[in-house]
Amino acid sequence: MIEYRIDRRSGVATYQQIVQQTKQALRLGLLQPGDKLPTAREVVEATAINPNTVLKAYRELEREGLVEPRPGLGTFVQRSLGNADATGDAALRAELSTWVDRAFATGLDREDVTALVSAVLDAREQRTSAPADRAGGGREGTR
Amino acid sequence: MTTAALPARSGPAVRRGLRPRGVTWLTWRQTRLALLVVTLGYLAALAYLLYQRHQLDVMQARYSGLQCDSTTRGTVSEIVGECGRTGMALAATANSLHEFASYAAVVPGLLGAALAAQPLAADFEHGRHLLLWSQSVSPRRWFTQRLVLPAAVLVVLSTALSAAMRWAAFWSHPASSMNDLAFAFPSDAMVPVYPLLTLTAIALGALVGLLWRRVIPALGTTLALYGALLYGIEKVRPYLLPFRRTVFAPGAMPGDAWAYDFGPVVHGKDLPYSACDHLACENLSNWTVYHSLSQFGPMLWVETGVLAVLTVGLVALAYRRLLAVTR
Amino acid sequence: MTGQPRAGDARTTPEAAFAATGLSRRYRRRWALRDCDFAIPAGAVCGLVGPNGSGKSTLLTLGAGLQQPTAGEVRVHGLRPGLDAVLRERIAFVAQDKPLYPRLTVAETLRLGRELNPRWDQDLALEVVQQGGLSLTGRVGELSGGQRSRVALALALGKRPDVLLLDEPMSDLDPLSRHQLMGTLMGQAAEHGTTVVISTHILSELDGVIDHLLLVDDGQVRLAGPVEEILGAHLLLDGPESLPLEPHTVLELRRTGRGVSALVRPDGPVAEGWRAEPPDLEQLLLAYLRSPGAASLNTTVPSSPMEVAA
Repeated sequence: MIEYRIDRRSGVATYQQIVQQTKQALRLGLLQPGDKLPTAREVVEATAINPNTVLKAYRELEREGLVEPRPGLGTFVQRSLGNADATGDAALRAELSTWVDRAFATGLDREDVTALVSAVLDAREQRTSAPADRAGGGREGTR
Repeated sequence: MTTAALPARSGPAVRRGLRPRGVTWLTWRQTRLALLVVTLGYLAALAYLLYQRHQLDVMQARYSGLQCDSTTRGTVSEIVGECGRTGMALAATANSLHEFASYAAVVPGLLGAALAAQPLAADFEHGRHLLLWSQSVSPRRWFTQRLVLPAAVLVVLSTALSAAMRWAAFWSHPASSMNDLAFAFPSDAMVPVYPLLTLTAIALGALVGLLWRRVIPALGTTLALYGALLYGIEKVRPYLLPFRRTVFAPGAMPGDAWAYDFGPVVHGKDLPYSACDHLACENLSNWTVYHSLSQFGPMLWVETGVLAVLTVGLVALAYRRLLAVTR
Repeated sequence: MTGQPRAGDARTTPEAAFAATGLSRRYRRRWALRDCDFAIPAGAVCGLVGPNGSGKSTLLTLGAGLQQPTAGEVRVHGLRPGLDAVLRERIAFVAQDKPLYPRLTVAETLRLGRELNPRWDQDLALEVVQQGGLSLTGRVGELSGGQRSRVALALALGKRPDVLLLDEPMSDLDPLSRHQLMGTLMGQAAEHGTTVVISTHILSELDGVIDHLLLVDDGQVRLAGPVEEILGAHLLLDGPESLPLEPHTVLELRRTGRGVSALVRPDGPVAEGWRAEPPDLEQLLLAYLRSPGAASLNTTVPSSPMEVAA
């Protein structure tokens, strides 16, 4: 389940941070259709933010058709973002596997590889989140 | 969201037995040690009282066995010495009962200060009234239940002790009762006055605790007012029942009577006792206003009634004060 | 989302959780509160801010029914605190000094809560206490200030109130405990729709937490309403001195070199040339506190003339 990290000094409205982080998770395939989002209570207990903020973020996601509330059960992911579809998975995995083999061949160990992958992912995250930041203050560009 | 499914809230559990609940639990938790000490104290006092009463019997038996006589002749040194010692011992034992009763009369004031004034004032002094009153219990209910438990325990204990006291002094040996205890200060330590005096002291302590809301001044004020109360009772007691008046022949002062005032009768006129300075009163008839011993029991009940009215008044004032504090 | 209906707009909520009309309280000669009007909707998380001695504690004790107003009235869910007995179990209050019985153990303190409150939630109270690593058998008198605060909050949360009034609850907590407890508080608000009113003079404590604001200064309400509405009603303008500020209400004007920086309540379009941005909460509060003469803004009371001005 996704865990939100709220940065109070970022200047980005808290509810937008939740929206963005959910979308990132969707883009990266960390959240798949059918996955359940944490309840408002779970989010605010972990982050100590106002419950209305979480509800507002979830409403925003719902309006964009990304999530769907199911009464009595929770809020569930309805569709994913980006291209991480199931058919691509096998090919990507094979490519990554070859790459990992090459990395070990050059003398990297497991931790180095993990660090490298995280670094690349982080860099990518920044690239994807930057436009959203600029759109901040109004509504999300994607509708 | 799982808000629809509230975590099962344990409903009011079925509680049985005498387990204290609610405010009474809190009171019990806070006063159990003090109540234990007080109970042990009362039991020790009761044991001491019964022992002294027994000693008195022993001394009296020994004294009468000696057949002492103020006109005894013979081996003066032996008999008078033995009689004198036993007589002194008898008087000392009687005196110790007298003293015991006097101390016992002071105890309710200490308990009122320690078990009513102190906890209430301490709660206010540390702001804990804000804690208590923001629970689901009204200040009035808290106040009542906070005091009912110690009051109930003390009434039972003080009734037991003061009944024993009166038994020891009057009921156990009607023929040789300790009449000098009647009408005097120590009679406060006998039923039915003593339990009511205890209640009055608690009500007084509670009112003072609510008024001062600081521990030290509340303790001091409670003790001072209780002292004033004992003094006041002492002053008022003679007037609780009507005086009786009689004139008696020289030297024939009626026994079993508590003389309030007396003086010589000259030419059918009552003169004050000061007239004896220039009159040979021992040769004259005397008048006296007095209470007879038969009035002692009723007088204790009247005194109890006065204390009951006072207690009700103090409790009413305390509730009014409590209401003012929450306004 | 299937959460309970959360804080709505005061005007659409039929019955405010915490409301005052003409609320005044005098201590001997000094007025601690004077003619306060506000209405906080059910489910709101409201920050009660103001300088020391501004009347925050008085407002909360009146709301908790521990005192009665000298004039006007305070209502909690339409009832009078301290007078309507049914309200007792629905309000929890944590006083500023966190009064507790030092000789009771932590477990006994929770027992106190259980004995005196019919809606008691022992699991929740235990969770709050154990989250802080407190031993249940430890005596309250031996706890640190922050740990005492935690026990006091456990007592208040365990009561499972509808309205939770907290007087500077976090002031002596370490950052981790503050975050944990604020999380627990917000979790309760989310789960049960509890209305929470938190007084503080540490504004950062409230960042991202509150959705309603009540600014009390010198016994009077200066700002009242949803945070977004209040922030949205103000603009921070930067520009050269020559630019017109009319017809806006100027709350604070500061010279910055050749230019000026003004916090205004806009009334109409902003003149060309101003660089306008919304103020953040702290800027806004400080501006109001520095300008005692600035007109107050109260969006929670429909009859308030201030709303027209806004």
